[in-house]
Amino acid sequence: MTTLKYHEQFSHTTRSFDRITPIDDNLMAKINEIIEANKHEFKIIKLITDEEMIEQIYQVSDVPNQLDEGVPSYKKRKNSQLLAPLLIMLSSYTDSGWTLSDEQCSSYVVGKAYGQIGMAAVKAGYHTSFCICYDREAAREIIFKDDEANSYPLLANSVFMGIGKIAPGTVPQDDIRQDYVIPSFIKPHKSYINVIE
Amino acid sequence: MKETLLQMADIIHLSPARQAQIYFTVQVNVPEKSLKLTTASSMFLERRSGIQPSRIVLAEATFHAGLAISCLEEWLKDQEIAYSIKEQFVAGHMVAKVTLK
Repeated sequence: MTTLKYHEQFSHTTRSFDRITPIDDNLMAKINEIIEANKHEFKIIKLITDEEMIEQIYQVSDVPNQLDEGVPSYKKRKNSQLLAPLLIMLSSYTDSGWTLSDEQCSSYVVGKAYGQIGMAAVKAGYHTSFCICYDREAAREIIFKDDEANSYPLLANSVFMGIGKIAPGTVPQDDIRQDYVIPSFIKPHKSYINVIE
Repeated sequence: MKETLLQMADIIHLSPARQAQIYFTVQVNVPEKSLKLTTASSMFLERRSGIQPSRIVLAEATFHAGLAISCLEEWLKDQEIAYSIKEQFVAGHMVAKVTLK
């Protein structure tokens, strides 16, 4: 696969993960290395592989209606991007753009870490997903149920990332739980890019 | 050089920041050999999730800025293109400037 193909794949989220095949040790080591390098920026670090827990998080998710934002068609449903063999939750200290302590951009660092993890995953033959639309309090109770002493609110900008192999015979747009294919749509315009010659 | 800078903008556009046109402004400066990404105030979260404080809107935009810039850095490394990066907050907005060497 070419470098550009890696980026094209990463730009499309996956809704049809193979939940049987776990993440291999090499990729897990790389993910842990990326997280370790930035761990002071994260209030929450969770790597979730427990299938029952992932199912519970899926049950408190939804898919927003984004017809007004150019996303074609809408069907009320849970977000199957969460049904991955590995779910990652890295959450910053504040729901503003920066940390309380040093004005380093915690949200920015979370985004960079997810980007590094995602590209590493794609290069290793995996698919990726993101989910920001879920019940924060319900998800908090689920992911901290055995770790209440360290429970911390999931903030508005707390995003789950899914990683896994794609289910055989599917394409990323297939919703693995429903007979529904999420249509692709043309990427938005580039008018936000200004070139000074 | 210009072609490389435009490819860099394409990588930003291709990143998982699907609403990039709302989250960011991107300036490619050919004479400077640089690309500058700045988060932009937007109505994105308000439209999707109801009214939200502007700091939360910015936090989501800032998250996606990190996502886009890390994709760009991965691409630059893969292409073995030497660069420097300066990341800072300016007037409440994340600004990341990548300059080719």
